[in-house]
Amino acid sequence: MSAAKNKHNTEDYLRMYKQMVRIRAFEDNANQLYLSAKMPGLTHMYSGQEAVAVGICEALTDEDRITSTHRGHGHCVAKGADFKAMFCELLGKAEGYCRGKGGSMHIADQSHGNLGANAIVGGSMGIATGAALSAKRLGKDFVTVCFFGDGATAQGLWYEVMNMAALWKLPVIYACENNGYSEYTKTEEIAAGSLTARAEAFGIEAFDVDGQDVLAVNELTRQLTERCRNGEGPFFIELDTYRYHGHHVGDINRDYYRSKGEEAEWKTVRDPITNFGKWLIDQKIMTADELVVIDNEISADAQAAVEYALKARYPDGSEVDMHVFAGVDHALEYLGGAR
Amino acid sequence: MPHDVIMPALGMAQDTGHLLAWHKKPGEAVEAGDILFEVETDKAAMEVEAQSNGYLTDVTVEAGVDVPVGQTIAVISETPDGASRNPAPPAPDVAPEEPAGIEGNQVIMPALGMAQDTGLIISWAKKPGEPVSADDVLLEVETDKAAMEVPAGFDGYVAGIFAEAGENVPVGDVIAVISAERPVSPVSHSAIRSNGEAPEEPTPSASAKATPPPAVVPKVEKPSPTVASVSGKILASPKAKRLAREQGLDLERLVKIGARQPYHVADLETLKSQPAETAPVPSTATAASRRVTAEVDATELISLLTWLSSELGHPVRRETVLAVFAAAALRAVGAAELVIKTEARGISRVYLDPDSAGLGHAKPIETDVAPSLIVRDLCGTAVSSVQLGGELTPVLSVLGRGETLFITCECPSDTLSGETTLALANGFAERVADPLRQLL
Amino acid sequence: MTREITLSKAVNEAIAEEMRRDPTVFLIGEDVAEAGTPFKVLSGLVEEFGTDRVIDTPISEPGFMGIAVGAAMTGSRPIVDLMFGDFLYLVMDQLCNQAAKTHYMSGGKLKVPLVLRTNMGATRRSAAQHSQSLQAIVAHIPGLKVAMPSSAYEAKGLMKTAIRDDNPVVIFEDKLMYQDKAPVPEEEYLIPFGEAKIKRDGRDITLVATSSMVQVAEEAATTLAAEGISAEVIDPRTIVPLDEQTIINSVRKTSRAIVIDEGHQSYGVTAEIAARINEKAFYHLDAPVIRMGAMDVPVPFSPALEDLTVPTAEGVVENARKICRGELVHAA
Repeated sequence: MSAAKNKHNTEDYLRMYKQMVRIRAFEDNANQLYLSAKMPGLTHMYSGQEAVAVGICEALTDEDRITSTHRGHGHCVAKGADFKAMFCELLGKAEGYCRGKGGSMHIADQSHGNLGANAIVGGSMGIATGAALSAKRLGKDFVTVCFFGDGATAQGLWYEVMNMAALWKLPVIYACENNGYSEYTKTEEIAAGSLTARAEAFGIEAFDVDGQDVLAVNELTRQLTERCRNGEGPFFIELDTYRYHGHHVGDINRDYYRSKGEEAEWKTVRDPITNFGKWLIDQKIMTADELVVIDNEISADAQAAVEYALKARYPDGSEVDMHVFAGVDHALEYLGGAR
Repeated sequence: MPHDVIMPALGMAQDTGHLLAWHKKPGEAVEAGDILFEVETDKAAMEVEAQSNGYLTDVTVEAGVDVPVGQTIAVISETPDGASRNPAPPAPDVAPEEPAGIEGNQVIMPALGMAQDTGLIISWAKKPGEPVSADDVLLEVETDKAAMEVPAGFDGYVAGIFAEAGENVPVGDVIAVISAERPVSPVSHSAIRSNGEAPEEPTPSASAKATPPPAVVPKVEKPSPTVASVSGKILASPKAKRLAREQGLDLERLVKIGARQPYHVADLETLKSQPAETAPVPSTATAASRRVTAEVDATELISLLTWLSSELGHPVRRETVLAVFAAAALRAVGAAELVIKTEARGISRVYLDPDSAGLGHAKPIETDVAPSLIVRDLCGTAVSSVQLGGELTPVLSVLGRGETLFITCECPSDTLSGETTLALANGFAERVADPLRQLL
Repeated sequence: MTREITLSKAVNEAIAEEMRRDPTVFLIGEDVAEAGTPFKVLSGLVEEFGTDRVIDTPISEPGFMGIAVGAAMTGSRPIVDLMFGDFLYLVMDQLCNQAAKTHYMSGGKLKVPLVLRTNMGATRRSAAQHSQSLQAIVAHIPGLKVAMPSSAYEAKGLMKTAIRDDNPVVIFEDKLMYQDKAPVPEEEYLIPFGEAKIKRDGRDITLVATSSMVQVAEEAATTLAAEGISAEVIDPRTIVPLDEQTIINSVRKTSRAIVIDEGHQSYGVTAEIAARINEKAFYHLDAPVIRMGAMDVPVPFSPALEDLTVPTAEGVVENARKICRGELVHAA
């Protein structure tokens, strides 16, 4: 755990701890919903990577934008989303963030600057860069963080947009969550050379940080967002982390690409929540009992939200052709002739 | 709080899991994370961990069984005996059981009258479980003030009866099932269950689609949508076919004079220019026209016209409203786009689909298209009866005497069938007699 | 006041007017600034608006398309310049998976107000990768609007409407028409989407034509008039949304129709419009609806071959004549 800086106060630490626990609680419940066949489709668990989303998003304001990925629940929670609307979205209910039209892989929460998860690997790299162009062109102060995994570094789009972001000095931070696996393949088998060197080739300052250390991630992001606002962007961060589950919830048999021993080691030795909890106790910021109270409260919140979402109503069938076009109530009517 | 142990969805497209073995015994203490049982799916065995602390109880599935994903297979309780759960039926998480479907051929309430929505069951001639043959009378139904016997339609056994004597049942509803095998427990109940719900339809087996009962249904002939040909199909454009039908022209005659197919609208002119006498089969010519007369009370029509005129602020002509009724009646017997011509006091007007404009709003149009139907308003004339014949188009003539209107419907026999002519005349008369029906 | 200006100038004026009106509008694409695009459509804009709003990009179509989507989601109204319509295939993910679906996937929370202006049209001897007319491919994607101006007048009015629309709009300009002049009012005007224009009244046959095919149809109509066949020419102007009613009304009147578009004939714009006529005016048809699209081959280079692949006025006249006389174009 990195050394604490005095400017952090207890409230910040507590919030970071809570947000990480909230992500874990959300994912545990989402996993249960899948396992018990109560959730349509499937989903990708963020558990294990909490310090990345929380460390970064706690350095951002609501005005700052993020783009997220198929493994996006963590980003969404960390950026301030509400459990109920998220679970409703996961279950395809009308009160979901996207009225049930997006589901797990497309949750967008405009109110907190989340421009949406994306089911195309690397699909949001252009969007994040474009948001940064908007900020610069329109004289706005916001910074955009583009979350993506190590797998997405194999997409050509990234090199195109990094090039332009560097040419135009855009306030964007490319945050690569390297969890060691590109779906079912070890990252070292799909990535030649070093990832940081790829960004550096465009003259972009690149950093490698321990993605299990929420304070280290947060401290670095604070510095980089500040520098982005001063026109020094873009930046690249590689965050070393680990996903506890498979590529998706149904990826149970994964011995062929990684061992149970490896998983156990990350979970016991490097868990971002356990370790940060210990540090809070060591620093006498919190007691073990206080942390248990927090854990239990959040767990109850999550379960209540699940119950709520399970009972919530599905969107009315009439919504199926709504939101195809902005400014058009029902697309089918419109497409048959505007008059 | 007890927690259900559920057969998990493990693979990408998995419906069931094969329970290989339990790693805990009923009553044994478990902790979250303990291996609870082993499942085979996608050709691989997998261990499933307990999700909470407690005691394994209420195990409903033994090793060796395929279990649907999502089904509860056990409970992790706070006590070893599992009594913590109140009424505690660790029932599989499935919908309440539906009454078993009855296999067999469905018998539905037949459509017996011209405009019949329901049929009143007078009596059943067979009891549940009794054998029947197709021609046996199954039940007696009252409709249009007449009792009719309905045959079973299938050989077999009465496996279920879903409506009782004295009940009025919507046409098309399943009222019985006839099974090939003798039913073990034949079913009988009312169409209106005690809880007020609609009668449930027995789950049909794949081979048992609803079949309309034979014989007693009078066959209502719709106006033939295409022009029949003895020698096979006549090739003509959709518009040419439509106009030929509306104008009572027989495209077969073009075939006979050797005109080249496919026919277009222009060819209809050739057809019209052919003298009727040269038609090789004069027996089917216009002489054989159909004629139906009807008599209705004029009171409702008169008050409707008075009300409409004051409501709209301008006088509404009787023939306009008659055109609307005529169009609606003709549409009800299956016509598509309707050009209605009215003739009254020496003035002709033509309306396109007047029934879609609403009463009092139909506006005359200019068109060369021949009318689908002519309405002649002869009220106020000295004419007391019409039998003109020889028209190419169906004609509805309306005569008035006192409070009574006399309606005559004449159709060339090659345009509408007898049944349809009757239906047209009756539909028109009903609308004149009861204009509210049109408004609704 | 109305003057005659080229289609190129009309597009330029539309963009300039909207950029003056709305500071969130900017242009982005390859060689849009000093070069003003290879067709010189955007010449002069960088002088007025600067490189901050007329942004030259590297040759990275997916990259700048994606950037435009993100900018549109965050308060900007980008106009993306895609040098050739053929490059649409390079931007398909960003256009069809991102821009087109974002509003829907977000349940209406996010909007993507962007314009993708690109071109279409063969017979410039540019061969298979610089000559395609890909409007049908874009029109197939729910969430995208598609405009196809047929003259300078339409080009200006439709462009201004597109820039103000809150959705992704793709505009196809026929590259052979950039120098074609037409009367364009000096006063501001917009052309609403989904309103077809009846370019010529007729009674015997309806010619539905898009973009430069409107000229082909009008030329055919003039020839047919001399033969006593009265052709009605309809320009849908936008194919998404499509003004179905104007087309259906016309066909109900004339009983015959030919649909002309320069995209490949199979599974194309002509097929879609013909199908709608069939569904909604069947009993008024006195002849089969004829599709006239580009031949289903990659566009060849040799002029001797290329000219065979596109619909021509002569071809339209021949087909119109046949179906008006009750002769067969295809098998009975």
